[in-house]
Amino acid sequence: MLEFPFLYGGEKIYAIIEIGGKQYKVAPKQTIEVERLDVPEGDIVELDKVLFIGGDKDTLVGNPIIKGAKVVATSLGEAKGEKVIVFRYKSKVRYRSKRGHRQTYTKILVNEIIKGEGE
Amino acid sequence: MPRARSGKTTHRRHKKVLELTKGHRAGRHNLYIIANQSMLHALDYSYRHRRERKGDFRRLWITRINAAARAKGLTYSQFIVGLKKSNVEIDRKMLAEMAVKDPEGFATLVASVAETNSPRL
Repeated sequence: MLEFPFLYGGEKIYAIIEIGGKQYKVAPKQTIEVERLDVPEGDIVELDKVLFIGGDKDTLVGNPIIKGAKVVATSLGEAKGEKVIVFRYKSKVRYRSKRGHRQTYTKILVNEIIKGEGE
Repeated sequence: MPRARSGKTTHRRHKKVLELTKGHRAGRHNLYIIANQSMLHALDYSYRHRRERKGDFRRLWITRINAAARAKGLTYSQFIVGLKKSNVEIDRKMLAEMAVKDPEGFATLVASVAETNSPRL
């Protein structure tokens, strides 16, 4: 993850967004991995659940979301995470079960943080 | 002394287990039977601890938020109640991240909570 403060066009800015039940801190030009979205590679994703915008210019707090604010990102396609071996074992009752799991996620590249008007 | 079995299939199976138990202490990484038991338990613990990890981190974040909030004159509990009352839904992971990486942003958050929610007496 990129360190804050992250410079973008001379301005330090970041946003806290919610997507897929998780919250992320994003800055322009940053790539993040989010829960699988149903969008093809190269498409634009608009994330409008912006909870907070911070930086050196202004600080906006959403209640719970900032009206009009959004984060514009490009989808970089889906990928699978590292394989996890899900193995359950109970002693003395001969219980064993083994499964592999690879979580799918979508990579997105943050292009721009739009603050929205007013409030 | 038990008879050692050295067939190809047996050897492969043993190798697979011993590969997984590298780093376990004492005989648990090089004696097959012991290593096998060690592996069964280790993989089961991994499953359990992946779930426990969520709570571990939540606890860590709370500690960090508490420390940062107290430095600004509010306790963790007052801070969280305040956030809830002013409908701020930033989660604990992000609050802790802010407290560390963006102390000024965190301070404005604490200040806004403190002024809208004066402590009850």
